[in-house]
Amino acid sequence: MVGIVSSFYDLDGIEGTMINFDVLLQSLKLILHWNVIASCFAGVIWGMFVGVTPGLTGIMAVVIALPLTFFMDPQSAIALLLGIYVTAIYGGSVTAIMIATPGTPNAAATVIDGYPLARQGKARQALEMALYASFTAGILSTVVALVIFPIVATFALEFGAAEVFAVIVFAITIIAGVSGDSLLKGLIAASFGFLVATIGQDPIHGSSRFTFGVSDFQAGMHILTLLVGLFTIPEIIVRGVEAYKSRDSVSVGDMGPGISFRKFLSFWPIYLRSCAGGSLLGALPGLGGSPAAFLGYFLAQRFSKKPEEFGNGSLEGVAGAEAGNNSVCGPALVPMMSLGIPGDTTTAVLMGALVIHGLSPGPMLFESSPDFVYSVFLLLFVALIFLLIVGTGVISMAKWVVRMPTQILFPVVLILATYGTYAVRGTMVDVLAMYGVGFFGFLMRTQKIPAAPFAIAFILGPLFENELRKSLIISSGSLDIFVNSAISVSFLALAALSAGASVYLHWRLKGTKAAKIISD
Amino acid sequence: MRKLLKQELLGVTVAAIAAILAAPVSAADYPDKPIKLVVASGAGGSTDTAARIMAINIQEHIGQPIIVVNKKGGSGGIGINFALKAKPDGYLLMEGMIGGHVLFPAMNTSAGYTPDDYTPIAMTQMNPNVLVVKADSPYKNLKDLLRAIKANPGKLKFSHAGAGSIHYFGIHLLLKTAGIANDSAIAIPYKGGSKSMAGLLRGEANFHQTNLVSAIDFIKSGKVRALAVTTKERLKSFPNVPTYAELGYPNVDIFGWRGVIGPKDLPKAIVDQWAKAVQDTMARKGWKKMVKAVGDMPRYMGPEEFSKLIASDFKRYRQMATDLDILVQ
Amino acid sequence: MTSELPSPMPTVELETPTRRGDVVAAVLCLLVGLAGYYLIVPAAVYVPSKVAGTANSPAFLPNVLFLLLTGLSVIYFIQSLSDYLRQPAQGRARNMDWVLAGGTALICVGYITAIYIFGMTLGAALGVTALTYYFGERRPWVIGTIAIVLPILLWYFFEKIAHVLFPTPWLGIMEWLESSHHFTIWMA
Repeated sequence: MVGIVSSFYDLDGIEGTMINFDVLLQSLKLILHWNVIASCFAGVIWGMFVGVTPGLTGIMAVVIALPLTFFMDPQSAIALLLGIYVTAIYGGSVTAIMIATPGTPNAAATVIDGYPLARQGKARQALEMALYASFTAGILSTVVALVIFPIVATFALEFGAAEVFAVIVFAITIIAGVSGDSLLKGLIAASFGFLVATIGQDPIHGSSRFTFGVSDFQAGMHILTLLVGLFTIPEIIVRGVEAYKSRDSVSVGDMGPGISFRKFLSFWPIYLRSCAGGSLLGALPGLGGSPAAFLGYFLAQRFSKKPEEFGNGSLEGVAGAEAGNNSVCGPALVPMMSLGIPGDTTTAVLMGALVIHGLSPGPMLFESSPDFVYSVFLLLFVALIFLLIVGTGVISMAKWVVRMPTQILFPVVLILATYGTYAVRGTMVDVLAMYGVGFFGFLMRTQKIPAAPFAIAFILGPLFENELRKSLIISSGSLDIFVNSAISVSFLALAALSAGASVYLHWRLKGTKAAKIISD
Repeated sequence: MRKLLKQELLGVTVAAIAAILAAPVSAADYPDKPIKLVVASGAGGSTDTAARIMAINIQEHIGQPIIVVNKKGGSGGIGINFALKAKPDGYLLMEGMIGGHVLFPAMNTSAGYTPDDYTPIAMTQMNPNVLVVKADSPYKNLKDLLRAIKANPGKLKFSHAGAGSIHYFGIHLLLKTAGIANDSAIAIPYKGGSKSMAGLLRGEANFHQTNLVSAIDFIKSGKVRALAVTTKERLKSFPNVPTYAELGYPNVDIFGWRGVIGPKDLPKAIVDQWAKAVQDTMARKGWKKMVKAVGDMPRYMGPEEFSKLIASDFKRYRQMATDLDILVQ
Repeated sequence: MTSELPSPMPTVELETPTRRGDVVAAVLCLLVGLAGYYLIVPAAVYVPSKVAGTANSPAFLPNVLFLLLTGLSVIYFIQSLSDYLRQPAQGRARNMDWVLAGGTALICVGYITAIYIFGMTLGAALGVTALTYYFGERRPWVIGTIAIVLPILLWYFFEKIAHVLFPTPWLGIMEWLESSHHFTIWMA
C-alpha cells in the first residue's frame, strides 16, 4: 500500500513509515518551554469555559483567541489553538449531556444517550465516560497520526470522489441504527433532514434552491441551528409542560455515582472501533467530527449486547460517540498540514495561524520544518492531558446544573440557545430557522418520530449529493466509477451488509416486543 | 525568516497598544470610536487573515482600534448585505474580496447588491492566477493543452472551487479567448481551492487554474507544472513560467484582489482618510512581510482606480455568467 | 438511583404517540411530499437550461427526496390507518398538554418579536422573565436577578469580547446608550 501511495505523493524528508527519532527529540525541545506549555493550558481553560457555556461555540473560542496568536511565537500560538481545539470538542458534549444542547456539531451523537442518562440521575457517569473516552481515543488516534504520518498524508489523495461517496453511503446506513422503534419513522425523519440540507446554493451549479429570494438562505441552514432546534427546543417545551403541571420546584437533583476504572476498561473494544472509524474519517479532508461521532455511535451499537438500550441512555453509546469525535483530532491535522486542506472551521483557523507565522501548510511544510510538524502532535498529547485534568474539575461543577430547578434552568437555556444560534453567523434568519425547526421537532417528538436520523441525514446529505454528482461528472455519467476502485467497492459492500443487518435487527426487536405485549 | 517575522509582530503589538492608548487623546472628529471591519467569510480563511493583518497594522494610522467581525455564508453575500445596511458613517467597513464583492453579484441577480451599492476605498493586495497540470501530464505547455482540448471536445476536465469562483471563470475566459467552445472541457467542482488542487493531484482533473498562493508549494516541490500566469510580467519566483500575454492571450489577465470597501454614500473625506491610511500602512515593512507570508502581492490602488477595476471586473464576469448560462435570477 | 424516590415529576402525555396522531402525521407528511414535488421544486429551484431533466440538475435530488417522502408517507398512512381502525378509542386527555406547550411556543414567538423591537439584550430580559414566570417561578427577586444579570453578561461577552454585531432593533435603547460618547470611553 505504501508503495502505491508514494507514487502519488512522496515525502522526501522521511524514509519509510518510521518516526524519525532525532527529529522527534528536536521537536520535544521546541515545546518544552514554559510559555508553550502555559499557552496550551490557557487554551484548554478557555476552550473549556466556552465549550461548557451553552450559546458560546467552539468556533467562537478560536476566533476570539486568533488575534492573540499573531503576537506569539509559532509554538505558543499553535499550543493555544490546539488546547482550544481539543477541549471545545469535549466541552460541547458537556452541554449536550447536561441540557440537551450540543455545543459543537461533534456532540450531536452524544446528546442521544448522554442526555437521557443525565435525566435518569446518572449525569456523572455520562460525563466521566465522555471524558475518558475522549481522552483515550484522542491519545490513540494521535499516536496513529504520528506514527504513520506519511501514509495518512497520502491517504487523502487515495480517496477520490467515488471513494468518499462510498464511505458516505456506508455512513448513511447509521440512520437505521438510531431510528428507535420504527424504521419507517426514522426514514421519514431522514428524508426531512435530507431535504432541509438541500436549502441554499446547489453544490455544482451554484444556483439557489428553496431560498425564495432571501439572501440569508443562500448559505443554507447551519448545522448548529439545526441541532439546537431539533434537540433543545422540544426538550424545553416538554419540560415546560412538566414544570407547569407540577407547580413545584423540581430538578434532577442528583449526579449519581461515577464510573469505575474496571467499567471504563471493559469498554476497550468500543474505543478501538471508534478510533479506527474516526481516524479514517478524520484523515479524509473536510468531513469534520460529527460523521465520525455518529460512526462511533453506530459501531458501538452494532457490536453491543444491548442494542435496545441505545437512545434511552446507553453508556456504550456515549463512549462510542465521544471516542469517535475525538479520534478525528490527530488525523485531521494531517491533510491540513500536508495538503493545506482544513477539516473544519477550527482547523481552518489553525491553518491561518500557521500561515501568519510563515509556516505555510502544504507539501513543503514537512520538508522545511519536520520538527515543527512533530511538535504539533506532541502538543496534542499535552493538550489531552490538560483536558483530562480540567475536565475532571468541570464534572464536579456540573452538579450546579442538575440542582437548578426546571423553571429556571430551561428558560435560561432558551435564551442561551438563541444567542448561540445568532452568534454563529450573526443573522436573525438563523434564529427564526432554529425556532422553526424546534417547533417542527416538538411535533415530531409527540409522535415519536426520532430526531437523530433527521440530524444525520442533514449532516451527510450534502456530502452524499456533492460526491455523487462530482463522481458522475468525472466519469461522464458512467456508474462504473463506483465499481472500478477496490476501496469504493468494499465500502459499498459494507453499506449493503450494514443496511441488511439493520433491517434484520429491527425485525427481530419488533418480534420480541410484539411477543412481550402478547404475553402481557 | 521566522525570527524576523516575530520581531515585526512584536513591533506591531507595541504600535497597536500605543494606538489604543493614544486614541482618546486625539481630537479629530473621525474616528472617535473603534471601527468594525466586516469579513464576509469564515475565520482563519485567507480573506480573514488578510483583514486581520490590515486591522492590526492600520490602527496606528487611523487612530482607533479596528475590530474584525466575521459574517460568513452565501459566497460572501450574507456579510456584504449586512454591511451595506450600515450607516455610511465610516464606523463599519468591509474587507473587500473579489469573490463576494464582484463574482457573487455578477452571477446572481438576486444577490441584493452590485458594485453600485458600495464605495471602493483602496486595494491592498492582489493574487495572480496560474494554470497548472500534474507533473507527469503529457501537456508540456499551453499550446499542447489547448490543442488537446480542441481535438477531444468533452474529454479533458478541469477542477475548480465551485461555479462562480475565480478558478471557474478563469478557465472559461481562457477557452473563450482561444476560441474554444465552453463545453469542450468539463468542469468538476470542489469545495474550495485546496480541494480542487487535490483533485488535480489525484488525477480526477487534467488541468486547474488557481491563485498563485495555493499553487506555489506544489510547483516548488515538483508535484505540478505551471503553464502560464496571468500577470503582465513574468514572476520573479518562477522566471521560466510564461505569461498569458506572451503566449498571445493578453485578455486572460484576471487576478484575485483584496482591499477596503465601505457602504454606499460614504463621505469623500472618510474615503480619502482611509485611502491615505492604507497607503501609509502599506509602506510598513511588517505589513509587507505579513502579506507576503499569506501569499499575496502588495499592490495599492486608490479609490478611483479601484472603482474602475471593480466596475470592469463586474461587467466582464456578468457577461461570462450570461454566456455560460450560470446566471442565477 | 432516582427511581427509588417517589418521582415528583408528572408524566408529559404529549410524549406518548397516539394512533390518531399517527394518522394525522402521515397525512401531513404525504401533503408535504406531494406539494414539494408538484409545487415547491418547480417554483423554488432554479435549473440552468443546460442540465434540465438530467441527474445533474439541481432539482433532481429534491425531486427524488420528495417522491421518497411521498412513498414512505403512503406506507405510514396505510399502517397508521389500519391500526386506528382496529382500535380507535384511546381515551387520553391530551388537550391540556397541547395548550401548555402552545403557551411556551407563544412566549418564544413573543421573545423573537421583542428582539426585533427592543434588541437582543432587552428582548432576553423580557423573554426570560416571561418564561420563568410561565414555568412556575413566582419569587420576584429570583426572576429579577436572572432578568438583569443574564442579559448583561451575555451583552458584555458577545458585543465586547466576541465582537458579534447584534441586530439593530426598531427601538434601540441599548444602542442609544452605547452611542453616547462617555459610555464608549468607559467601556474601552
